[in-house]
Parts: sequence; C-alpha cells; structure tokens
Amino acid sequence: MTDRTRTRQQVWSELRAVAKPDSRFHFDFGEYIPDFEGSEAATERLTAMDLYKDAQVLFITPDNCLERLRTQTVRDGKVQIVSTYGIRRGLVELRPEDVPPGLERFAVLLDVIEDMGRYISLAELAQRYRVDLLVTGASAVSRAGVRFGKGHGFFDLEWAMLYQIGVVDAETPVVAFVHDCQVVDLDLEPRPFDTVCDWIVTPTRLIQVQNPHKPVSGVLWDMLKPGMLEDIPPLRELQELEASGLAGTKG
Amino acid sequence: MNEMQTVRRRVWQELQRHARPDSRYHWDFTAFIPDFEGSQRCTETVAAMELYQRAQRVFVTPDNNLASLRARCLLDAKTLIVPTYAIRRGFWLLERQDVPQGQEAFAATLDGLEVFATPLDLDRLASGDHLDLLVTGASVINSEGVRISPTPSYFDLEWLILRTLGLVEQDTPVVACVHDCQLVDWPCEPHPLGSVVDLIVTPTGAYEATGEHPKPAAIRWEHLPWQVVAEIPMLRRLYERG
Repeated sequence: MTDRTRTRQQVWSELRAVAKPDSRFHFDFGEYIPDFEGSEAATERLTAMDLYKDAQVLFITPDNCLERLRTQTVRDGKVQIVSTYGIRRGLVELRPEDVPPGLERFAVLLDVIEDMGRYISLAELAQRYRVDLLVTGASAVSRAGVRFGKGHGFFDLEWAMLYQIGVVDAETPVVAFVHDCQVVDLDLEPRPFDTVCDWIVTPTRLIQVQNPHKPVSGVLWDMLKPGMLEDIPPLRELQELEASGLAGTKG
Repeated sequence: MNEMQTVRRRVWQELQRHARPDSRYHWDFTAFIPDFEGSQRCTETVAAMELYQRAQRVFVTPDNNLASLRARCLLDAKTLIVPTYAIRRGFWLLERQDVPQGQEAFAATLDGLEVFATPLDLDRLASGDHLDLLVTGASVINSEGVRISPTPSYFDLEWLILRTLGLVEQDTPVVACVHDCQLVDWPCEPHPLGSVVDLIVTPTGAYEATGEHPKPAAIRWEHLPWQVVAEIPMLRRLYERG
C-alpha cells in the first residue's frame, strides 16, 4: 500500500465522525467527497478572502462539502462552472440569473443543477469566460497543498483541460476545501499532473502554500486511465480541438 | 446470454432513448430506476385515482421517475415514506409541514430528502400506522405485475419489511409506474422473495395486473444472501429479532 493509500484510509476513519452521508453513496468515501461539520465556517472563511470577492467566474467541483459555497456564489452574483459527477456529462454553467430567488440552496444540488444551469462545451467556455478561482474538495491534502482525491484524478483532469483551452493559467488560484482532519503532515512530492493548491481552507484555519506546483502540460493523453476518454465528453472535445489546432498542446 | 438477460437488455436499449441519466449513476440502469418522458403523466394518473385520494400514508420508492409523485404527495398533504437508496439508512418520513411552500419538487429529490426528511429506523417505522398505498418504479415488469429480474429488487425487500411489521397486508394496493417500453409480455415466475404489483401505470395507460400471484407474507431467509442482509440494517435487525 502506498503512503497515499494508507493516509487516505486513516483520514477516512477520522472523517467518518464528522461527515454527512451522500444520498446514494451513504458513507462510502471512495465514491464521493463528503460534506462535513464545520463546512459553513470554512465557507465563510473562504468567502471573506479577496480572491473570492474579486472573482467573477469560479470553477467549483461537485463535491458535497462545496454545496454552501456554490449557494453563496449564486447569492453573490458570480458565475460558476461545475463539473458533473465523474465529468460524465461535461461541465455545467450556472449563472445567478438562472436561479429563482430563494432557491439558491437547492439549485446547486447534484440532483438539480443540470436542470437549473446549462451544459457548456470547452469551446464555448474558452470563448466567453476566464476562470478567476478554482475550488475543490479532497480526501486528504498535505500541508504543502498536495491533494489526494478519491483516487480518480478528476480535478487534475479538469485543471489540465481548463489550462489547455486557456481559461486558467499558472497564476490562477486553486483552493482546497477540507475538514481539519483531512490535512495531513505527509511530505509528498507532487507527480507531474498533481495540481497543487495555493490555499487550504478548513473550518478553523487558512493555510497558504508557497510556490505550488501547477501543471502546464495540459492533458497527458497517454496517462489517461482506460475508459476515461470514452466516459468524459470534454476530453473527446479537447482531442478534436487539438486536431483542429484550436487548443494549445503541451507546454 | 439467457433469455431474461436478453429481454432486460432490449428494454434498457429502448429505455435510454426516453430516460434521463442519474446525477451520479449516469446511464447505469443496474444501479437506479430512471426518470423518463411522460413520468409526470403517470403521476397525474395516480393522483386521479381514488385509492390515492383516500390514502393518508403513502409509501413511494426513491426511483427517479417518482420524484414528481413524491412532490405531489407533499402538495396533497399526505404522509410520505420513502426508503433511502438501497435501504442503507432506513426509511425517510416526509410531511407537508417539513417543507416550505414552493420547495416540494426539491424535497422530493434524493438530495432533497437528505435536507428535509426525518429518518425512520425499524422501531420508529414499526410504531407508525399502516400504509394505505405503495408506489414503485421497476426496471422491467410484465403484464401480470411480476418484475423481470434475476434477483429480488429493493422494492421486494421493502415490501417484506413492511409486511413483517404488519404495516401492509395482502390487499394493500401496490402500483408500479413505468415507461411503456418497460412493460413486457414475457411470462415469468416471481423470485421466491418477489412481490407483485396490482396496477401498472404508464404514460399512455393504466392496467390492472392480470396475474394471480400472491404477495409474499413473510421473509424466507434461506433465499436471502447474507451479503444483502448485512448491507441493509433494517433486515439485519429483523433477522436478529428472530
């Protein structure tokens, strides 16, 4: 078992005490990133930061702990791009005007958001937006900002795609949003595709990471797991964009 | 592939043309029962039935095609009982007063139930009143009201739990709501644990089930793999009670 796997298991047993179940996955943390006690405080911590206040367009993962942030993003008049679970149906654009007043908290639930928002292709995303801030959950994160997700690598893929189409660059801040028990003291070297976070936000603290490693290679096609290309429509779109010379290749 | 698998696969191929993906399971119909075009018409058909109108306590499965019916139960101020997905965390209780006006549609989703509903474990469920009506989805069902499935469905297990607790009887009405393509004319004996439905409602019609199969009256534990019992706390409790 690698260091990452062992740490993930240890964190999960602590997380179990503070996590909220998912409607379908219950407490099976291998399938989802849970909401947790204190996520409201963590959301307040994040939304008090200038990098949130100044952001007009956020990329936010569909993790359950980010429901309150997604809600606040609507209330604060910002646009959000949210990936569908497993990126199986690509990306969703949710604008404040898409949400009837009073329904912000429901509009951002996974069972609702695809009806409230609309799907957006990478091409359209590149044409209309620049992403100012990315926020993701994690299973665990080291103090140096190296995340471990569910082990599926979705956020790193999302970063790579957004980078390759030019809506983010190496300066765009990435925030990891976790419970305190998910911050670990492991000294991990980032792998080439690891998107290291600039900030870690928890219910009780803010940790800044100096010079976080940000991949600039775009999608590493030969590192994709089997089935990913078939399952993830934006990857196929990106291949076509590359082939037509419309999306930057490595470097 | 055996004949049953062929039937199921054919139905699912057709169903995908009319269905909506699940937020998490996408198109994996082994993991969920989808919403489909016309599900709202099924809801209206059920809502117009006398057996719905006089029902006070309605059990509705968490299938995606029944979200609009679950919302309708709230609008009609019925007591709604919904199992958690795969019965992993018992059942949910949801009543009109739990949901602010205008939020019924959200409360009826699986994510919404987590926000609004009250958990019911075995003891709380057992101490409640009997149920007046059960509504379920199905993957594939025949005109006799028998599910075409190699294994018991979650509804079969839910029926057995409710029957064992005395909350339903043989004549408690059971309605299945499915898309027309999910209703087949393929004769099939129910699984030993398999329940049957009384009425099948599709977007185009309502049909009385033609079969004579009784609904199971008791759990026959020898037909339940231990793995299934282990994952469903209510079943485990029932087993331990003896």
